[in-house]
Amino acid sequence: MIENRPLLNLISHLTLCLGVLVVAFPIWIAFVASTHAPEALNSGTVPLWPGDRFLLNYAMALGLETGQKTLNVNLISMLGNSLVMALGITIGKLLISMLAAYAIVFFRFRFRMLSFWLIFITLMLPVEVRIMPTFEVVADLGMLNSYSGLILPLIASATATFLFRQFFLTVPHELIEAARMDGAGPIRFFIDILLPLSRTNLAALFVIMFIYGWNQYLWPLLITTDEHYYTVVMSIQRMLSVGDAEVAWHLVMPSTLMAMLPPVLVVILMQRLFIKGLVETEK
Amino acid sequence: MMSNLSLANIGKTYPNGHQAIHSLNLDVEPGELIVLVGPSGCGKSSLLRMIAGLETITDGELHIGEQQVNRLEPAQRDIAMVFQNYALYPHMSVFDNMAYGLRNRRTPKAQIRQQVESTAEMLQLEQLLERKPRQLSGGQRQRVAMGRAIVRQPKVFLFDEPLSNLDAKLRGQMRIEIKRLQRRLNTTTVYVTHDQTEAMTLADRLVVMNAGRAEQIGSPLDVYHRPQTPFVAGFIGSSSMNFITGRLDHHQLQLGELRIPLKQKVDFNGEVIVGLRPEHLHRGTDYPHRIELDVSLLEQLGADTLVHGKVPGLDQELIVRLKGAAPCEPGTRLSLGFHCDELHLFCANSQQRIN
Repeated sequence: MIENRPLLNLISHLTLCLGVLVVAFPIWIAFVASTHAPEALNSGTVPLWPGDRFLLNYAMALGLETGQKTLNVNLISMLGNSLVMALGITIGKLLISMLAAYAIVFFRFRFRMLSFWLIFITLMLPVEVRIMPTFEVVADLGMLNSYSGLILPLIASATATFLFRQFFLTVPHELIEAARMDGAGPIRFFIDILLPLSRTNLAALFVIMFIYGWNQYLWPLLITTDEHYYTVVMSIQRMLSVGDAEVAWHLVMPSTLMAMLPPVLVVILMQRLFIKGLVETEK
Repeated sequence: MMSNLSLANIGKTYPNGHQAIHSLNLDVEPGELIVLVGPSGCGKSSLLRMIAGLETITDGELHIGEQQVNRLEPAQRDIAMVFQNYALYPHMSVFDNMAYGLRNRRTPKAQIRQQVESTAEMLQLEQLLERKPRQLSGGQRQRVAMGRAIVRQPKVFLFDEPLSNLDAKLRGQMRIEIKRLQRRLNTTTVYVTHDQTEAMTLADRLVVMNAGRAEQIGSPLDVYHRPQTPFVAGFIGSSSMNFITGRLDHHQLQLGELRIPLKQKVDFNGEVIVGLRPEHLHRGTDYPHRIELDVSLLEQLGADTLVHGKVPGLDQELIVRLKGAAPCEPGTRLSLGFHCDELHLFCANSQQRIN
């Protein structure tokens, strides 16, 4: 239905603009703050327009040699840790949930529905709820302060399993039978047919899971005590706990913005596939 | 590529006790085109899928060529199937769709290319080899699906209602094309359809199925002229045969007021079901038996007219197919004649043909 009512259009646009403003304003402030000298930020009033220290602040936040006092953490290595963790979680989740959904949808075995419901129920148990037992298990396995400790406990995903299941259920039965006729066994069918057909779903889930992995806060905070394994999201909090000294806002803000960059890039680069994967099934 | 297919006492019982196929026997000659026809739910698709290996066979033996194949995987049976909704791989080009089965059989690359290209030429698909299925029309997809089956040069082709997704005109064309291809390749074929016209035009032999049983197996004309049961009689032929209940006493057929002495000797006395095809009632005077029809409705088909009406003294409505435009109006009475050889007589109890 196409309507043309000028007043309605105006009001909707105003509402949208207001929404954008509410979301974008804090990010703007963060950006502005990242371009000022520390004195300007600690004086009590927040400037609204960018200053002249953009390059200097960012270089200092990254720990590049500038002759000035820098942060108490190593941002580049933390960005690397975050990337390893986010990619590990994403790829692991996709692999495991896809295989789990494949088993549940295409094979008849005992306790099939039971296993589906077990997986489904874990949807209701986020990491925070089961954090003590999970910590215990990871500690007993000696995985504190390691990448596997960061990645493995978060790798199982009921959401992705469920989404893949829903997608696999829409794959026409004849396609499987045609593949059987063509001499494709279960593994061949998975690789040659199901995987390419799931391309857009994979992309959509990749985006969601990457952001989920990147934004993990509580879990890395709990299991890492070695600076080598700190992730960027948890360390922003550490930058603020400096005791009696003044918070280096001119360095915290550049770090925050740079921590936001990878998820934003992932979303922008995969946007087209992402939307396709959520709205349309190619058949 | 000639090979015979034989079904011996083939049966299917589901774990819940439902019997889908009752002990069916069929020997398919090499190069023969067999059509399984019947209403939906009669078991024709189940039977085809059992031959294909997509359903297990619970009773009997299935042979393809010399080999017993009951327990073989579909890919090991040397058969190829064309599915109702084509089941083309959506992400593969036409070439890859056709080559996929050969690749899985580790056929050498050069041979794959040569086989796919010659098949594509046969089906006029040469220009489309690089396209994806979604860029093709319904008829083209249908041809690709057939190409995928032909390219493997299997011993037996299986078709599962392949034309039911096409519009009427295309269906007619494809029907002829399938018939020609099958003649040319001379490959043993089993074809499932619910459409009796398709069945009649394609088949070397028909298997008319009802409720999991083969009611009659025979050539299309044989089935048309001598249906063994009222079910077959009613299913084959368009429009459907007229049925009237009556009595047979010492070669005298009693239909309401009407008495018809039968020319053939029929040793049966009692209740009978009489079948008469709409096209076997005629206007004109040179027919030995006559009935009067009170016309209630006309269906003009151009070349023919279907006349619906009732005969005084009989309960059932009759349909008559007359040549040309309407010779009458609803509400009028029409005098029609027929030969008693064209009556089909079935015993009312056993539902078997008696003449």
